[in-house]
This record gives sequence, C-alpha cells and structure tokens, in this order.
Amino acid sequence: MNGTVDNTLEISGLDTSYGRIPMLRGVSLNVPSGQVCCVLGANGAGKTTLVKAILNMVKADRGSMKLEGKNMDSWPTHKRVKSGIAISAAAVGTFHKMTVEDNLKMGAYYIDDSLLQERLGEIYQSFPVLRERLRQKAGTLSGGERTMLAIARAVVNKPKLLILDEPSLGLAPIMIEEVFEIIRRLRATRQMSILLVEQNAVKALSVAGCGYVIQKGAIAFSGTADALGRSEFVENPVM
Amino acid sequence: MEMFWGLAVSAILLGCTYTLVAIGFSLFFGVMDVVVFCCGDIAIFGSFAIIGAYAVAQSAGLFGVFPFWVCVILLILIGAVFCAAWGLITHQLSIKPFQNSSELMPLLSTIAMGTVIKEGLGLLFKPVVNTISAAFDRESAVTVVSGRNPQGFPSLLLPDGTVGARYLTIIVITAVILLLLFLFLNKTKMGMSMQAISQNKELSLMTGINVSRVIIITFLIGGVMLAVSGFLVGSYQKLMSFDDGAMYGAKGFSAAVVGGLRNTWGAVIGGMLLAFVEVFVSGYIPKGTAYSSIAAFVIVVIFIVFKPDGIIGDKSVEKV
Amino acid sequence: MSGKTKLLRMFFLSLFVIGLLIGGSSADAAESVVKVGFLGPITGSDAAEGAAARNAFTLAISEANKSGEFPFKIEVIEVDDQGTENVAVAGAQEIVSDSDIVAASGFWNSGPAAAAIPVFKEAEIPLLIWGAIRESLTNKENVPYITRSAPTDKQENIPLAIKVLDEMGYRDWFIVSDVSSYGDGNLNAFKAELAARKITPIGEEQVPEDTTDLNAVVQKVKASGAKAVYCGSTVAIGSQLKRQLNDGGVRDILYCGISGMKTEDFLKIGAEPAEGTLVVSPGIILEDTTEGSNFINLYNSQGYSEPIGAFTPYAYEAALILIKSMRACEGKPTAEAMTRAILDSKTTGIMGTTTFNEIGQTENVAAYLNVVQDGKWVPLDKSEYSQGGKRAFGGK
Repeated sequence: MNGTVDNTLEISGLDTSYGRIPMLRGVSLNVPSGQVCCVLGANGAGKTTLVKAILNMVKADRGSMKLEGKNMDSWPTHKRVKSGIAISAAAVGTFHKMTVEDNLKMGAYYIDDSLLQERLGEIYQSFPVLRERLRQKAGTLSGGERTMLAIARAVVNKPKLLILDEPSLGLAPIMIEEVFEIIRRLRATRQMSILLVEQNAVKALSVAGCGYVIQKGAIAFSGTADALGRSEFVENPVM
Repeated sequence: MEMFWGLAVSAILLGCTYTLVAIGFSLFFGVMDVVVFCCGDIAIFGSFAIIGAYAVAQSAGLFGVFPFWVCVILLILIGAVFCAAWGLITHQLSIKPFQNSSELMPLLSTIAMGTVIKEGLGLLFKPVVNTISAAFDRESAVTVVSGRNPQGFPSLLLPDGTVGARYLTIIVITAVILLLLFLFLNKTKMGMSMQAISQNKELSLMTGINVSRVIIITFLIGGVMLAVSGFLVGSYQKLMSFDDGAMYGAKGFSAAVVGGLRNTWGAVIGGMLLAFVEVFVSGYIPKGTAYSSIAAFVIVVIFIVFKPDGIIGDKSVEKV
Repeated sequence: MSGKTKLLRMFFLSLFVIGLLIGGSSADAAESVVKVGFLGPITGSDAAEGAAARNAFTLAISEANKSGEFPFKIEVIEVDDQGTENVAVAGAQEIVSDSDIVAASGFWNSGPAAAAIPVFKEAEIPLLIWGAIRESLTNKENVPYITRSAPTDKQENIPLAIKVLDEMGYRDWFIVSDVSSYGDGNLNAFKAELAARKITPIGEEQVPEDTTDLNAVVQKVKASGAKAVYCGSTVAIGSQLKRQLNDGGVRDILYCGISGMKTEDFLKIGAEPAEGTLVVSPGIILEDTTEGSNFINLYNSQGYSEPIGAFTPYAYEAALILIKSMRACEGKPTAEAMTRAILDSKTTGIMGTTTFNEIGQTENVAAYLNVVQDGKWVPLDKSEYSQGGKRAFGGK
C-alpha cells in the first residue's frame, strides 16, 4: 500500500464520444484529497459528460482513472459508488414517489442499518430542513429542499469523493447562499474531497482550492482557484 | 340481490386472475420502461408446466410418496421455476438487445416471444410430457394427445372442498401474494431498489444500485408471480388452452393501463374494475355477454384518452 | 427442294416425334398418381376432431390403395387449417395449385369452410365437406363444386328438438352460443325449433369465442329460473359453461347441446361436472351395425392416439364417396369428371346410403343422442338416462 495518496481522484487522457461524435478529448484532472476542486464551463462544454464518465455511466474510449491511487477503469458504476464516489446532481432529481427518509436511505445503499441510523442523525443535524420533511414525498419538496436532499443523500455514504453537479441550478439567490454554506461546512468538517461542477464561477471559486475550465470537451485551464479567479476565463463574461 | 352477489364474487375471482398478470406488466414496465407483451403467455406456460409436472408426478408415483399438499407446493414451485426462466429468457433475448433502439422494438420482440411460447407449447407439450412420463412408468404413462388440445387442469386446490371454499382460497392466495409483494417492494432493499429504478433510473445508477442485477431479479420475481397466476387461472378455469395467453395478456395489459402502468396498486384496481365491468355488463344487460369484452376495452380507451396516468394519477412526476 | 432441306426436315420431324414420345411417357408416369386434398383442424382447440378425421380419411384411402383396384396410386395432401379462416384459405390454395389434384374433402369448422369455398370454385376442384355444418355452405351457387356428406346445423338440431321439446317437454329455455358462425347457425336453428312450438326462450346469450369465464352467464341462468340450457357451441365453451353451471350450483337443469361438444376433451372438466350433458351426434351408433363395428375395429387397430369422434366416421365416409366417384370416372379421374361423379354418386358406406340433392347436400340424415354418464359419452338409448332408467335429467 502507498503510505500517502495525494489525489483522491486522478484522471488522465480521458476521451469519450457520443456515437461517432467526440465529446471529451484528452481530459486530465486531479482532485487533491481533502480539497474542493471546481470545474467551470458553459452549457454543453462537457461538464456533465465528465461527471458521468467518472461514474462509468458514459464509457471512456481512452484514458484512465484512479480513485485513491487504485485504477478503477474496469469497475462498473455500482462498484465505483460502493468504493466511495458519491454524486449529487441537481438535474437528475430525486426518487419523487418516495419519502425524504427513503430517499436518504437509498443513498446509503451499502451501509448496514445501525450505522445508517447514526449517519441519518448526523444528516438531520446538518440539514434541519429535511428533518421536518422526513415523511413527505420528495416530489412535493421545493427546489431548494430538493437540492438539499440531493446533497444529503450523497453525503450519507461518507464518500471519499463527493461530486456536486451544478448545485446552484435553478435556485433563488438566498438558496444558493445556503447551498454554498453547506459546501463550506462539508469542507471544514469532513474528510472528503469535493469536485464541484458549476456554471456560477464566482460562487464556485469562493469555496474551491483548485479549478479547471472545460471548453468544447477539453481542459482549457488548470491551476489554483486564485489563479483561475484572475484569469481571462472568469473575467471574460462570454464564458 | 342474490344475482348481484353472485356476479360480484365472479367479478372478484376474474379480477384476481387479471390482477396478477397486470402486476407482471407493471413490474416489468417499472424497471425496463417497456411493455412486455408475453406476460399472458408466460402465465399460461406456467399452468401448462404444472399440468405436465402433474402428469409426470403421477407416472412417477410421487403422490404415493409425499403428502398431497407437499406435492401441490412442489408442482407450483416447478411452475414458478419455469416461468422465472421464461422471464429471464424474455429479458435476455427480447428486451436487453433492444435497450438502445426504438421503444417499438421490445414491444414487437416480446409479442414474438409470446408467439414462440404459445406455439412451442402447442408443438412440444405432447412429446415432452409423453417422453418424460413414459420414462418413469410405461404402464401408467400419461399420454397427452396434442399440446393444442384443451388440457384439463388437475384439482390441486382443495380437491375435496366445496366450490365456495375453493373460490375463497383463490381470493386469499391472491391477497397473500399481494401482501407479500407489498412487503417485498417496501420493506426490502431489493424491493426499494426496484421502486427506485422505476422512478428514476439515472439516479438509481448514481446511488450505486446494481441496476442490471435488479432488473434480472425483477424478471425472476415477475415470472414467479405469473406462475402463481397460471396456477390460479388453471384451478379456477379447469380447462386450459395453449392459446389462452393472448386473451390474458390483453386483459392484464388493459388492467395495468387503467391502473397506471407503473403502479402496482393501480394494477389491482384496474384488474378489478375491468372484471367488474365485464361481468356486470354480461350479467345485467340482456344478450350483453357478446359485448362484455368490448365494454372492458372501451373503459381502457376512455382511460387512455382522459386519464393516461391511470386510476391512481401520478401528479408529482418531476420534469427533468 | 434440295436434299439438304429434306434432311433438315427429317431431322426436325424426328425431334418432334421423340419429343412426343418423351412427353407421352412422362404423361404416363403422372397418370399413376391421383391426388386428393384433406383439410381439417388437425391442430388447435378442435384438434381432437380434426386429427381423428384425418386418420380416418387417410385410412380409407390407404385401404383403397392396398386393394390394388385402381391402376393409379391415390395420394392425400393433408392441410391443417387450425380452425382459422386465413390458414384454411392458404391451405386450399396449396391444394388447388397441385396439378394432380382431382378432388378435396375438408372442414370441420364452418367459418374456414366458407372462406375457402371460393378458392375451390374458382379452380373448379370439387370439395366434399365432411364436417362443417352451417346450412348455407351448400347452395345453388356452390353446386356442383361444393357438396356435403355431413348434416347441416338445421338437420342436426331437429332430432335434438324433437327429443327435448316434444318427448321430454322442457319449456323454460336459456339458450347460449358463441359469436362464431357455428354458434350463430346453431342458435338460429334451435330458436327456429322453439318458435315452431311457440316457445320463447327466457334468456339468450352469445359469448365471444375466447371467453373462459362464463360465471356472469351462469348467474343469469340462475336468476332466470330456466329449467333447461341449450349450448350451441364447440367444446371449449360448452365444457366451460357446464362446469361453471355446476360450480355455481345450477345443477337441477337439463344441459343439452350440439355435436361440436361431443369430444373427449369435454370430459376433462371431470365426471361430476360433466354428468348428464345431452348432445346430439350426427351419424349412427357404430357399434350397432356390422359396417360400423368393422370401422371401429379397423380404426382402433391402427394405433392412433386420437379416439373416434363424432365426425370421424363422416371423414371416413367422405373418403369412401371420393373413391366410389373415382370408380365412376372412365379411366383416369379428372377434376371435371369427379365433380359430376361426386354429385351423382350413391355410396353405401358405414352410415347408410349417401346421395346428394340438387344443392349438393346429403339426403342421408342420421343422428342420435348421447349423454355423459360417469365421465363417458354413452348413447342415450343405452344409458341409465333412457326411459325407465336409473338416472334422470335435471329440471323436472
């Protein structure tokens, strides 16, 4: 075993395609352990494809991926999740006909019952709004509550790598503030690395330590969050 | 009034047989988003498997060795194994290969699978049963004349009981199966996973559910349910024909549509509604029997037009 | 004219002669085979009747071949119509397209028969119907190509009506049939018999052919207080109705029906539910005549798995009529000669002497009644239900 692993996630030279149309081209990306890393990009730049490729929901044509140093190229989706990758994607929604509690339990698919109760307790501490809605069907929640639920569901598992796919999508400014407050708390209190995929560059950079910009399926910038904040990508409103 | 109750009992019994097939439809539709049109044929295959196994068990002298009820359970299990196998074969051969093609493909391929099952029964039921039963005992071997002939279903359900007791048992067995299904779907991880896949397949993948495994298990469980349905239909109807599956498939599918295709409880209500309409149209309208099936299908059309989400409308669907 | 031209003419002339000889010899070879078609529901829900009829028909033909009476061999083209119309039409086309075909015999189901009749008329191939009983199949338009040796539904319902209406005196009738042409024909034939006796049925239902659940009808019968139920359908619905009447507690009635129900499959509903079912069968009680017994012995000695059904002797008889008609043809039978010969034939077979009237319908109407007793079909006259017998029909 390696004594220390610097990166929770390492992606090198990742290519994907949709049918015959290439999507990602030579994407290399690292998420250092314990850090928040953001990926910025416009609609259709390949952000969601990247997220799905990390979970093997989109097949990689080339390239390799490592989770805490272990090559995971051959792992199917459920094994990647079991090994510690959790994803919260606002666009994918919830299990709308299940209660909030059942949604959380589905997130903890690989945890046994006693540990589950403990984890749920922790979750209710961090997400008090969900505790009030436990017996309510997820489909009846407001947009902000649904985003909270999606994040909570991903966190129940205590993943090594948490992927947040556009958590601010479709939320009111006050809710966006709350979501990023939670991300800050997660960064401060938990030993998990976070890959934050966002369109809202200002918000994302306010919590991230490192950043990437993805354009037309390729990495256009990589560096620290500070460097990214000063770069043309953030200052240029066209992005 | 006596006639009313008589009709009501008939409708409930008929509804039981429709319901179990309808649940097969909605389970499969839930996890795969395809209408598996051979559900009726799989159920009829189950009852033929039980008839065949009974014939073989008789030549093998099984009924002398074990108590009667043990034999009955064994026979039902054999039917269940066969139907589960067909569920699996249907998934592997006529649904999985078409996962990424048009929705029409699995529709057509499952209709084709239904024809294979039906014609296979017609052609092979005779040689297979005759060969196996003769292998046990040449003297008392059962000879099936033709798979295409109507087959008498053995009296396995309370053979000495009254008709009323038999009917009650059919209703109770259906209720127990529904209860078990309810517990399975809501109280087990596997059941919850099935619901999860039915509600949001992408999210199910993201939460780490082994979706392909759950789908296969759904087909196995659906197959077992269809076998029980075949057993009940056989016990109720007594005389089975290899091509009864088309009718049960059509009725089961209609019931599932009326109930809302994904909704298991809708399937129960849909099955009962269809059966009640059929039986009461036939019972109360003079010369109405000729129109009973038409009346039932009219109900289906009305639902498709005015309430496409089914009887238990699902208003909370998220637009994603 | 040069010698060369003459030589050429000689050459072509000899070629022509050789051609004639070869053609002639091949025609000789074809003459040694004469083909007849057989159509019936060899598989499907009526398979018990269809397959037994096929056995009997081919048996009669192979007996004729064995006798060495004909200078040609008779071959049978068997077609399974599965009791469905489109399959029957396809089968009929297969038969008439064979150049050696001289006649065909077919059909137990009236629907497929009606659908296939135009094919035979068009091809001018004579069709002798052995088992389909809808009255309209034989008519002025169809003669001379279409003939029938089986009685019509009307002819079949008459002896039943005489028995149950006149002799037994049942007045409170509930009549059931399926929606097929067979069911329709029977329903109308029996209704006509009722009307002739000024009886109005107290209930009447027609059920779709694929119906398996008849409990609503049972409840209606129960509520109507009918003393007798007539079922003008085939075994599938006839047996289900009887069983469900029994299960529904409607036992004290007369349950009677038509020959389509008299198959071994009917008995699969169980001895007790089937008990007392009265049906009319066309033909004669085979055991009672020498010719009939001979047929039974011959049939049973072949080891067929299908037992003799109500129409099995008719299929045998149809083959006998075709064979007799071949004898009447001078030399090699042709379809044209056979058409005339069948219509003019007078065949004494196992069920009496068959002749045809001006529309090609048999004039030999024989029928007898059967009843289920202890899980077996028994001729009424020999059963315990016969007058002064130990058992009695319900509804009295």
